[in-house]
Amino acid sequence: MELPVYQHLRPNVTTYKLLQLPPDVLEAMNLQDPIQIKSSRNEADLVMVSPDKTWRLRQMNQTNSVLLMDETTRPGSLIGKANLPYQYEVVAIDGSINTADIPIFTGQLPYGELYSVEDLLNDSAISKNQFFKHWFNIGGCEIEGRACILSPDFIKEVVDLFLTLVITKQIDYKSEEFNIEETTISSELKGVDSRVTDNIVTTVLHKFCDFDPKTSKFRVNNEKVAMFYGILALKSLQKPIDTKEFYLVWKNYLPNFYNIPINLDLLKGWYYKNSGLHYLDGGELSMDIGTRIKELFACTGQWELEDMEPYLKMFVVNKKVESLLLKYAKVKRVGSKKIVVPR
Amino acid sequence: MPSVDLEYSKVVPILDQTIKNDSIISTPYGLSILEIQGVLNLPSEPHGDAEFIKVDEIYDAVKFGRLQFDEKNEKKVTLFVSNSQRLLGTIEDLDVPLGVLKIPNEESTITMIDIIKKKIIFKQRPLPIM
Repeated sequence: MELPVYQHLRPNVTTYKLLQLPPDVLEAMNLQDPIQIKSSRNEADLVMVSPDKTWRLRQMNQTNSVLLMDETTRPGSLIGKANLPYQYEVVAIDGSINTADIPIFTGQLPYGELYSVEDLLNDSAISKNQFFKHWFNIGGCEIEGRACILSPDFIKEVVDLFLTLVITKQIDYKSEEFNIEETTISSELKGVDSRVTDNIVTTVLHKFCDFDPKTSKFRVNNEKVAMFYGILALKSLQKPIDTKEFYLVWKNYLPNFYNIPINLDLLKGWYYKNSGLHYLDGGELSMDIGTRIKELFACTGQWELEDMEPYLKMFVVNKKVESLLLKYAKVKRVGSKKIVVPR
Repeated sequence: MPSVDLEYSKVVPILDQTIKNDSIISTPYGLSILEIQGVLNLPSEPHGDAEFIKVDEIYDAVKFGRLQFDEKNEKKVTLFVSNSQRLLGTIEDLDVPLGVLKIPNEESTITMIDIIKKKIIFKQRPLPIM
């Protein structure tokens, strides 16, 4: 069999582009999920979103001539409609929310322009479901039509009230059952504190509870609560203290009669040890790996590997932090522990 | 952030892997990809000895060769370019299928018009015809 091959002299008015379709994209298409392509102000950043997934589109240039041939316009011949100089590589990502300009709510709303959560969602390179999961986690909330982030101190006040209410209403906060209704909590809390709104309750419940979509009910996630209070307790430390003493400080931070197991392991990535515990927020460290490791060693000259790992895990994919460290530091085994020291 | 819908309902029926396709190279919608090393030098206007055709009565297209399929091995193809060169190529399955997007000039919807799973690729240098 032989086919004559043609090529258009001038490019078609319509532009054609090639998009890789990895299995997770095909899966979304099979489910007929709505898919959108978003471009951020930074042109290089193209993302594609389905309701629950985000993919980054990277333009992969090719030096070969890639011709898009059509067999139907002139049966019996192949006609090149276009030359496609690149294809889009599609990689699943977590997506991100740009919170740089989002005001912090401390109980009062700072003056500013009207910018809603929907505006923020439209401006963020992330799918809708991933957005809300992440948004509630960082304490995001809409107040008077404006997107803002609840300050940790304000969140603590609301969680204190919420847990006290759970205890006085004799709801078992250790139960596996989904036993908390949003409307009940909301109406009660609004009665106690006039600053609390329905949206604030929604944020707090999603941040500190597990949600059951079937019954639309919540149950307290005690680990998340313990972690939140633990970080605040660490942050409040004026001077380094030993672990046993810290457990007392932490317990004191929790609301009265709220008794849950606490463990320093929950706070990995928030502290370092140097003659006692110190607070260390990874968000304030450099995103350059070499600099970041120097900053970590400036805090303390020797790290337990497991304490250091959370500060570095964003630099490794499918690899252990330990193998990343080989280039920058020495890892020694001391008893059952692995200790990291500078080179 | 500006966003556009990706309309792909046309290709949903061909997502099914089991659909039979009589054509060796093209998709059920008749599209395929031909990849050549280097650049294809084409005239900007029809002139000279080459064979030109009109596509859809609007576009000029030039015949740059003929594609011959090997009768014994259906993965092998030869592309004869003009009267002097031939390229030996193969039909390969793509690692990741490629969606063909049609980008309109002003509308707010991008349409996926086809999914391509194979390509015709010529990796070697041209050989003379003897």
